[in-house]
Order: sequence, then C-alpha cells, then structure tokens
Amino acid sequence: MPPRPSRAASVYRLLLRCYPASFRARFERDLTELFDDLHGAAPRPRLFFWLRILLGTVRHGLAERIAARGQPRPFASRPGDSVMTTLATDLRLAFRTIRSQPAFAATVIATMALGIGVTSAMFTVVNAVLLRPLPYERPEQVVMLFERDPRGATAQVSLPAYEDWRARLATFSSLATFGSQTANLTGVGEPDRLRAAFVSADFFKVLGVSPLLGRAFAPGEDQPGARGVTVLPYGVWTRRFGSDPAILGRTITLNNAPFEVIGILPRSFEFPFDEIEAYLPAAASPEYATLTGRATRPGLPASARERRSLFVFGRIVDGVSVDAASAELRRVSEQFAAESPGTSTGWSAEIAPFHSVAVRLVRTPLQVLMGAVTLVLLIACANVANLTLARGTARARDMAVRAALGAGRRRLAAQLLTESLVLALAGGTLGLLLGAALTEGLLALAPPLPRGATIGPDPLVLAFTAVVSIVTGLLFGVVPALRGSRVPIRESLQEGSRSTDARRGRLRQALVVAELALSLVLLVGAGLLARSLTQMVRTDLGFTAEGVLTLEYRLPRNKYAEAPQQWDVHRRILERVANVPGIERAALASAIPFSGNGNRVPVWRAEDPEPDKGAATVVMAVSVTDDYFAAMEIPVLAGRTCSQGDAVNSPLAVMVNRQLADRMWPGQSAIGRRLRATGVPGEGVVVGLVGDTIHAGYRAGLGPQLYACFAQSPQVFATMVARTTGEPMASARAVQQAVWTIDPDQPMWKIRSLASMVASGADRERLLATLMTAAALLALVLAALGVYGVVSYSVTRRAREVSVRMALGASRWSILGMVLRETAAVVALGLSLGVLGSLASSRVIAGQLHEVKPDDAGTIIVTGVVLAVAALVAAALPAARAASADPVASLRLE
Amino acid sequence: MASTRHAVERLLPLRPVVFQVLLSLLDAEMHGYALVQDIARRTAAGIELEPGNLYRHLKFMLDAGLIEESERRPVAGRDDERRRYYRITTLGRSAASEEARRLEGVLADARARLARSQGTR
Repeated sequence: MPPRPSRAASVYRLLLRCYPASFRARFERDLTELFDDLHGAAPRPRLFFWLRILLGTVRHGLAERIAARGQPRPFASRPGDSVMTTLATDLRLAFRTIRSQPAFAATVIATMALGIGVTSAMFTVVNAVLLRPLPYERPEQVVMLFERDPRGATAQVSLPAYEDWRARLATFSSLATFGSQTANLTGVGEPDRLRAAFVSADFFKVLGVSPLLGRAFAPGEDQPGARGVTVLPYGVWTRRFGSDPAILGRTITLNNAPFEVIGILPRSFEFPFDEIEAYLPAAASPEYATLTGRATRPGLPASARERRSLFVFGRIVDGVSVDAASAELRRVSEQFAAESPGTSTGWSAEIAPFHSVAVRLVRTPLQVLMGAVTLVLLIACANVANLTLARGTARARDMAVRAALGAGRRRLAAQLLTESLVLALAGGTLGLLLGAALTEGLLALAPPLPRGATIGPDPLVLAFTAVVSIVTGLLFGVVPALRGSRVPIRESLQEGSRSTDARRGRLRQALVVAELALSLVLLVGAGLLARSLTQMVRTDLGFTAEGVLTLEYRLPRNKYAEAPQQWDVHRRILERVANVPGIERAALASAIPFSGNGNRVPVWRAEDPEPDKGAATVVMAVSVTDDYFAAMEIPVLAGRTCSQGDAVNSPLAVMVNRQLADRMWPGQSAIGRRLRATGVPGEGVVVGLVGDTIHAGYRAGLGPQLYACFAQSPQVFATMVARTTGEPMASARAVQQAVWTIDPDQPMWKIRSLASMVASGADRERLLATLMTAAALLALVLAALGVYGVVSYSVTRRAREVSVRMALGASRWSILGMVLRETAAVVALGLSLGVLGSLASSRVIAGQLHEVKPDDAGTIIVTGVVLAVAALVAAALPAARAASADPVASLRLE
Repeated sequence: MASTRHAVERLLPLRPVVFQVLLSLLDAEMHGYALVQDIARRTAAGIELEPGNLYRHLKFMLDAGLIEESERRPVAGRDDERRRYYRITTLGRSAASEEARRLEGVLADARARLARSQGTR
C-alpha cells in the first residue's frame, strides 16, 4: 500500500465526529486504518469514493447516535441532554419538516447546488493550478533564474552566464538548465515525434525528485561525447512501453541516435511547463552547438553570450531567503557583465519562484473567475434567504405553537438554523457532483492550462465544498432563524395576522437590491470581456488566415549536415508540394504569425555605429521563401521579394515592413538602403517593402518586422504555409505524402489551418469571456427569480387591497402600474449600487481587456438595461396575475 | 447446548452483512480491510462495505458474542501488527450454519413456488 498523505485521514477523522463518543473510543483507530486502506485502493479521481464515505459516515453515525440514545422527546431539550442529542433531535425534526414541503426544499437545494457547484468547480481548478504546491521536495526553494536586459525585460539565459552563476553562486545548492524541443522517435512502433527536454545533470537534483526505477543523470552525462542516456516519465513508460519492468537498459532511438533508458520518474512527478515525454542530457540537444557558438568548451566564444535560450532552474540553500538569493544573483551577474563588456553591458538577472512562473499567465483570469462564481454563490444565498423568509411568515403559527408548548427562543432558532444547514449540505452534496461534472466540461472547453493534468477533486476540494455549504447555510439561515424565533405568540395564533410582515418585506427588498447589484457587477464584467474579445478578433491581421494549411518539420541534422544540402531538401519539398492538386502556392518560413516562433533581433542603419544596448530597434526577424507573401496575401508595397538570385554567396537581401521603414527612414524610400543586425555578419540590402502583420499574437499587436531570404540563411527547422483552393485540412494528407516522396522518414507535426491558429490566439480571452458570461447569465436568472419571488409574494399578501382597489374602479393597468412602480424603485436602487460596484471592481479585470476601457459607458448602459428589463418582466408576471384576478372572488375568500 | 440454541434462534434471521462476516471468518482470522476485500470478492461486488457500516456490524457481533477479538498476531513483518483481528466464536459458527439452513428452506420454498407458477401459466 503506498503511504497516503494523512490529509485524507484527518478529513475522515473529522467526519467520524458523527459517531457517538463511545463508538469512537472503541473503533476510531480501526476505522481510520480501514479508511486508509480503502482510500489507497480507490481508483482516481476519488470523487465517488469520497461521496460514499461522506454519505455512509453521516448516515451510520446518526443511526448509531439514535440507537445509542433510544428515542429522545422532541421540542424541549432536557438539562441532561448533550449537544449532540439535541442536534440529533433537531436533525430529525428538520428532515420531517423538509419532507413535508418538497417543493420548497427542492427549490432551495437546486439553487444551492447551482451556486455551490460552480464555486466548487472553479475551486477545483484554482486548487490544482494555483494552490497545490508542486510535487517536489520543499518546492518553495525551487526558483527560475532569468537574465534581465537593460530595459528591465526578462530573457532566458546564455550558456556562459549559466556557467558563471554555477561557479560563483553560494546561495544555491544546485543549478540546472532546461530546454525543450521535439525529437524523432524510431524503432518503437511507427516513427513518431516526442516532446523532449534537454537538461543538465543536476536537473532532478534541483527539483528534488528521485526516479521510481533506476537513477537520474550522473555528473558528466550531460557533456558532449558522453554516452546517450534518457529518463522517461511514468506515463510514457506505461503507455509506450506497457510498463515493461525490464525497461532499464533498453535502448531507444531518438533523432537517429541511441539512448539507454536509465530511469523512470514516479507517477506523482509533474513538470508544469510542457508535456515532456523524454528527458535527455543537454549536450544531446540539436541546438547545443548553437549555444556554445559552435565551439567546444573550454573557452566559449563571446558570441555565445548573445544566445540566451536556456531556462535555468535553481534550488536555494536551506535557510536562505528568496530575497537573499536574489541579491546575490544580481551582484554576481553585474560582476559578470562588468567582466564581459559589450555583450552583457547593462544586463542584470533576477529570480522568480518556479510555481509562480509556471502559472503567471492564468493566475489573474482564474482569480477573476473565482471572484465571479463567489458573487453567483452570494446571489444564490440571497435568493434562498428570501425564500426562507417568505416561508418563515407562513410558519409563524407553527413556531408559535411550539413556543407556547415551552420551547425557548434559542431552541427555535437552532431548529430553524438546522433546517437551513441540512438544506445547504444537501445542496452542497449535489453541488459537489455538479462541480465535478462542470470541471470536466471546463477542461474539455479550455485551452491547455498549466498543471491541467492534475485538476481533479481532492480532500481539500471536499473540505472547501463542505465549509462553503455550512457557511452558506448559516448565511441564508441566520437572519430568517432570528426573525422566525422572535414569535409574538398571541398575535401569531390569531387568524390573518400581519404584524411582522412590513419588517420582513423591507428585509426581502434589501436582499433583492443586493442581488441586482451583484448581478450587474457580473454582467458588466462579462460585457467588457466580450467586447474586448470582439475587438480582438476583428483586428486587421495584415494577412489572410483563411484557406492556408500549415505544418512544421525539422530536418535531421545528422542526415543533412551542411547548409547547401539543407536548402536543397527544402527546395525539393517545396516544388513537390506546390504541384499537389488543390495547392495554389506554397512557401517556407522560419516562423509564421501566431505560432509562438520568431526571433527578436536588434537592427540599425548600416551607415550608423552600432547603438547601445537597449537603444536599438528590435525587430521580429523571419526568413521566408519567395512565395511567402503571395501565399499569406501580405501586400508587397514596393520593390520585390526574394528571388532565385538571392543565394548563399550573394549579398543579403531583406524586406522590411512599413513600420520598420517609417522608423528607420521616415518620409524616404527604404528600397536600396542597408541594415545591420546583432549576431549577423555583413549587412542586408532592403529590396522590398511589405505590409505590417500581427506576428506574436493579438496583444503584442503590430511592430517592426524584417524578412530575410530562406535560401540565404537555411536552417533545419521550417514551417510550411500552403494556400489551398478548397478547405485547407482536406489537402493535409496529399501534402504529407508529397513530402514523403522526398524523404519517407521525415516526420511532420502541427498540421493545422492558419485560421485555427489565429482563432486559438484568443483562446484564453475567449474562455474567460465565455465563463464570465455564463456566470453573469446565471446571476441574471437568479436575480430575476428573486424579483419574481418578492413581487409574487407581496401581491399574494395584498390580494385584499388589490381587490378593494379594483372593486372601487381601478383598472387592471393601474394595478399593474402600481406594482411595477414599486419594483422599479427597488431595481433603480440595485442598479445604482451595481454601477458603483462595477466601477470599484473594474480595476480587477482592466489587465484582461484589449482596447476597451474598464469604465466603458456603453457596456454599463447596455447591461444595466438588460438587467432592468429582466427584473421588470419578472415583476410583471405576478403583477399581471394579481390584476387579472376576480376581485369579488378574492373578497369572498377573505 | 440448549442455551446456545436459544441464543441463536433469537439472532435469526441474520443480516446479510453479519452472515457474510461470519462466512469470511470461518477459515481465517481477519482484520477490517481483509474482511471488506474478502466479502467484496465472494459476493462478486454485491456488498461494498463503507468503514462505519462494517464496524457498526462488528460492534453488534462482538456484543452478541458471534465473534471475538483475536489475541494472536500475525507473523511479524507480514502485516501491520497493530491491526485488530477478529475470530468466530462457537455461537457464531452455530448461527452461521442455522442461517444457512434457514436460507436453504427459503430457497426451496421459493423454487417450488416459482416452478408452480410457471406450470399454471
């Protein structure tokens, strides 16, 4: 049996409080041990296990209590009664009352299940992504180290900087590098692509993770020339190798080189950056030669300092604070910069906890959504409190009878509160199930979240839901309980008494005002996010995304070592694809828009001296083949694109976009001008001017861009763009087959339409807007139900007044108008408070908005009108019913 | 002997869980988890016991004298020696066999009735 965290057992021990003390004294230890065994054996996710335990414990615990006490007398608690016996009595009474009013109970339970369900679902996600610590040894000591450019932006780390840090930093017990790239797997089934991580030897030491089987990397195994070894995650071992116990020592072929499996990671291991399928030594990376500046160590050339592409992880020494480690890193990196002038001038470094880096993009959206569902829950509580208050009036007689028979005020309040709690817990149990279903739906809908694989219910989610249920039970139960227990016996026992009605009516109106205000806050938030999303997807991209098929491939370097060879293969592939039926034009690029790829390079006019770091214009630099602009439908504004003449040995031809041209040569023609770029020998001649495009996603927007010719700077990695005559994906198979006629072993991936890539560029915004809209609509419906409830209750109570008015000649319309006028006052107050609330809370979502101001008046007005109309319609239904009643019949009934 | 018979008759019919626990303990002394697993296996997942449910029945069986706690501990190292083991008493054995006989009667009666009802159709 694997040792389970005692968290589950301590939750269970709390649950065991349901049993009488004598039973616990005798069996608690045995029960806990049995629970531990069953918990360990229960299949994940353990939702049903926990439900069974929860329901079973409550049921048997109460049964045991009742059996232990015999039948206690209802109503009065005797001096000798323990709290638990009184509670058991209250519970039995509560169940009896609830059973006698099934419609009321069902409404309350359903409302609470909705509120608690959405809250529980959101908390399940927040818990797994933001709260649960990473499964490493003392995870708070694991940090990431970044270089920081002179303008304060963080960057990845160069190999020389990393080696310097490793030699000098004393506040870190270990440092390791990480880089990830796809690797071609052959020899196990069909040729496939694996997501591989290239890490230095100390990587698992930094994380504090030991393999389940075998060992981690040994010192020296990450150096060039060392024997190929690999450590595999648990999932890969089970899925691809059928949990083969003899896996250790087996050799797999990655990128045409052999790697011996030396370790299998434990099942609990989690790396939140990427779904990594194999861990390989750093030196096995195809990019390793680039990192070292194509020189073998020792003695890295100065250019290696410019290649900042490593992710660096570190473990801080025990007892050293993050601040102290950060201060030392800054000192060491500034010293390093001083010792290597030019390439590192002005650069510094900083650290950030690994967990916060891993979740930084989703933290605020998740917090906003958690806030939103909390508001929905509050609205649900207000609704239920309203219902309970209404019922309290109806039950006043019942309470008065019990008070007359000797029940004290406290006993009556406890009784009413117990009913609320039972209803809330029932709602909570349903909510837990609903929450689990909603979580599944959310995961199916959502773009991949960091740590998404670990999202699921756990004891904390269960405890959270239980606490939320109890708190909401108190929240919607406490005011009605206090009101309900204050019984003026004589008045209540008299027929038709209405003395407490006025007070209750005001309280209920106040609850509706609160519901409307909270709903408006949610509606405005959803409206703003939806508008922001609309603005975003309407942005002019500068290219036509529809009708383009894209895919990526990487030529194996050990098959095509030299640049001319590589270009020759690319060229032949392109020729073949261009001839596929249904393909209009095909081109290659080192990076395409919305792919996440692309190089940022500082450039300057060739006639100027190289500017200081930070002062240069940084462009998005991409190499493309001649047909790229035609295939993407990017306008060529002047000059030409790449041509056959632009070869490896001819002058570098470059194209610039309008933004770069305007910045470099404002008011002049750019054609024929010369540019230089960091890390590129020689200068480029501008041969063409092209339109601006959005490259790095909607938020990054337009920026200066530089295009070089693929033939002049060939590389192994390429993205193909092919404009098709029909549906892009319909040509995918034919394009792949065309590539395979050149090399049947060449894997391709990310085969998708450009339109889908652009659409997923707004995934996060779309998800946030969708969920927020769902929460807001739920709030709208609940608030409308609240208005409906209050109005229909009030017109029922006032049936006599309405009848008298109508008998005296008031028209139906005037009755309707009277009710609506009264409702309008409540709605106006709720909306005003809601507008104030939205303005106060708009700051929270300001960071999530794209070209929409958080106090956008249009959005506030439109959502306010929607809410007002919904509220008035909800009020008009019962009002119309009252107005159409036969006044004579109503009066006769009295 | 007569008093045992009287005691057994007072306990019949046995609750299904009680009967199953007795059957499990006929061959071996067991702790709680072993009982849960054994019963789940024998009754082909028909009875899945929640911990509280099992121990409420064990409490009843201990109080009724159908089972008792075992003094013996398993071989060191083979299992957790802190666990409590239960064994069946003489009364428990008689109760189990009486219940089995009773169930046989029930079954025979049911079969006969079913056969008759098929015949008359």
